[in-house]
Amino acid sequence: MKAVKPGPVEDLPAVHPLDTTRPPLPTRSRLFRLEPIGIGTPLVESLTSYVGRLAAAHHVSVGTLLAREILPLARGNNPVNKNEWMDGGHLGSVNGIGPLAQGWVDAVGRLTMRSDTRWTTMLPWDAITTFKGLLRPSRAWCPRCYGDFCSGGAYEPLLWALEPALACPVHRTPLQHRCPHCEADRLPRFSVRFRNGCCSRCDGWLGTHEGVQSPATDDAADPASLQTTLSLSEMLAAGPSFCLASQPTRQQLFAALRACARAAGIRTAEELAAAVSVHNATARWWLLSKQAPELGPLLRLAAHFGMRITEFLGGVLPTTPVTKPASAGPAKSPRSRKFTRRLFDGEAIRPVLQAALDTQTDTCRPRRRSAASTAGTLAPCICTCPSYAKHSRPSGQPTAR
Amino acid sequence: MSEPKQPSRFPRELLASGKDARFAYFRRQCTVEHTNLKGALGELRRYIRRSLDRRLIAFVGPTGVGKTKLKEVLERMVIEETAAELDADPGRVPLASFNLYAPERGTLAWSDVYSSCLGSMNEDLVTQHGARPPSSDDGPARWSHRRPTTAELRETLKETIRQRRPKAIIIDEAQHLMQMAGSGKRLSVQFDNLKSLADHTQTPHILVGPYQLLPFFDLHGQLSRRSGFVHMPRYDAANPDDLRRFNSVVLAFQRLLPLEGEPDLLQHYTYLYENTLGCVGLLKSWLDEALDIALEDEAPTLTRKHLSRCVLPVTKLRRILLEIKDGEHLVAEEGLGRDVLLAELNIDPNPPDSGEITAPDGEAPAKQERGKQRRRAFERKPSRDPVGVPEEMRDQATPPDCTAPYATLGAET
Repeated sequence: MKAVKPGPVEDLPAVHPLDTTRPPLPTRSRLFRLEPIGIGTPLVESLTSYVGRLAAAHHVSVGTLLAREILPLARGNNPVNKNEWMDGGHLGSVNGIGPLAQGWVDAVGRLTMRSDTRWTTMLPWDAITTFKGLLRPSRAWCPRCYGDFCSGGAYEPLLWALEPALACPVHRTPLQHRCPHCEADRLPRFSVRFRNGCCSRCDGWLGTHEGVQSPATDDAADPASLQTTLSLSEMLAAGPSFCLASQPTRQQLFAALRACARAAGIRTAEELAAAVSVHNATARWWLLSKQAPELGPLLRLAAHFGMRITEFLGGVLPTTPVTKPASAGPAKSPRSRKFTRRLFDGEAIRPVLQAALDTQTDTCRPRRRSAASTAGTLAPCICTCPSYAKHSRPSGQPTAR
Repeated sequence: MSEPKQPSRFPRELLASGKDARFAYFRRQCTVEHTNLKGALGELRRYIRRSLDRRLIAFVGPTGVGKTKLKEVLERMVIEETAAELDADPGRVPLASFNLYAPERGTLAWSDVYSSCLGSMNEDLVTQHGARPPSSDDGPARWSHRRPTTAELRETLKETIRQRRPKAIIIDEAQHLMQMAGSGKRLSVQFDNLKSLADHTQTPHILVGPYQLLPFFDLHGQLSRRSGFVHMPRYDAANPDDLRRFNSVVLAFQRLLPLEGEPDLLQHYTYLYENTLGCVGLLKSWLDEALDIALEDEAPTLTRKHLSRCVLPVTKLRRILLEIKDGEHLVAEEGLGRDVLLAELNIDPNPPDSGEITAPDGEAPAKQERGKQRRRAFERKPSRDPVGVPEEMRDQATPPDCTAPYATLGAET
């Protein structure tokens, strides 16, 4: 190397220190920040579908995602009991209301660092409805919707998880319950094997392929079911705007109910019950602010008063009295029949039944239900227990069928 | 305000601290921004910022020149520049940076590379608990808890990069990728794999390593076109400017050494140069060790004695120098290949009466560039050799043939 003197220090180019310490990184989300599909639309995604998409994006099973990430947060300090969730019985309830849904929404929100996951459940409507009649007990879907979603990625709208929704608002066909591949019915709403658009038993695709449609998807839904579904979809679409502007409360609901009933000319609980096909006691409890309506009757109430659910909750009153009974709507629930309990007097009943059996007529042939109705006819003081014939059969007589 | 001429010194209050604190200060906080580092850093930031077509970038340089340190500086800068984006999107990561370790059994598996990359983005769900097959609507697709296959890891990595959107993927010690395959043909397939990953994810992949990486970026045209090259050279003592820059680095380190008396390292600059080969990384490592020795001896300043106790052996230096020379030769070939390229394109490098390509302002910088390239390797610049009859021989009857030596020289080349 040729000896070159470095020269005066002042002539050397200045070189300064560099800071190489890595600056602190703001907290990153543990899971991908997928955006829930369709918030503010009738086909808003359900929380179970969102979790399914998260698992698919991370290329793990739903079970892995639940065990590793979601359940430890959702359950707090309690140890995860696998037996509780392996069966999947309660997992589908996370789309509804209450502390379970709230826990899951908080957990998923923390993992994805999103604040809008609550719109994938019925939590925004927590105050105005109840658990009962909210979520369907098994999975339902529209095959054509799955076929349409295929290109953009399959997902399950929250609408399909709600019990009053019996039809697809887009294709106007009934929702399906049976897998076309394995014929399994009553699929679990959510399970560790869940995949959007696929059967959780056989993993078969539940949607339509191009040019191939299952015969069941061609039937049109009945108008009543469709109307209820459309009301429900309007309610879901209005969720973010309505609930953020004025979070509906239970008191608000009862006040609106009483005001609408008064404006519509309904004077008694019986009239209200008849209008929306519920039990008299149920209507009475509504008017006394003791129990919120189930989702189905709530929608029928709003429909009966001729308004949307958001208008109903917003304090809008019907313009004209509603006098005609509700002709549209599902049939009366069997629970609406009068049920009175009467005292059972075995000593008085036995000789009467014996005499009836001795006559050996067709009407007296002991059958499970006819025995009860026969006993009820012959001895009004008998308890109408259908198992009476089985347990109180005289010896030597033909076996009750 | 003008830039201060002299480099800054260490904070004097550090002298009151213990040896560990002073050593840690010099080792971890004293990186200097020298010219070659600045140049390479600028190039890399350009590739990352512009997201150009060249998404597979080779960042090469001699061993110990400071590539890993530059990588740390780059990470810091990217994090600072993307602070607003990171605040707006908590799902995003600024960079994915990881080291490739030498494989235990001599060959590296792609699953290890993918797992390391996923780990750098904190994505460990699939690697720890098995994967699912990609979604399919063609019949039942079974899944189970098992180790994910290489294909599954690749798909997971693609999705993770798509969701996390890092600005770049930095792979340090990338020379270990050479141990993926045993023959040149298969190696091109491996690099094609990396190139397609970079193209699919639209994310620059920066491979950091020594000069051995270079030839494998020229395996075929597609790979060459899609790949970029950033070189961080050492300071070459044959170049006076390089030597001045090296000395300025020495001066900067001299002022940052946390000792009572500032050592005069500049007077030993030849000793420092010959034992670091002009590589700033080697210089810094050497000074770290020497400082440790000086602090242990409780010496007031650093002397040549401390340096000589931890100097690299000559055999090692010679081996490193051989590798550096080979690499520098590879880099230099790029500039020398221009004439070959012109010949293959059937373009005459010396066209007669060719119009000058001028810049818009009427100057002709290109002419100077072409003239410079017209000279072949080892061809002397004509102005260096006199022509014509020397003055003292002009009176002779028969002038000598002064071009004779150059005629043979031209024939040899």
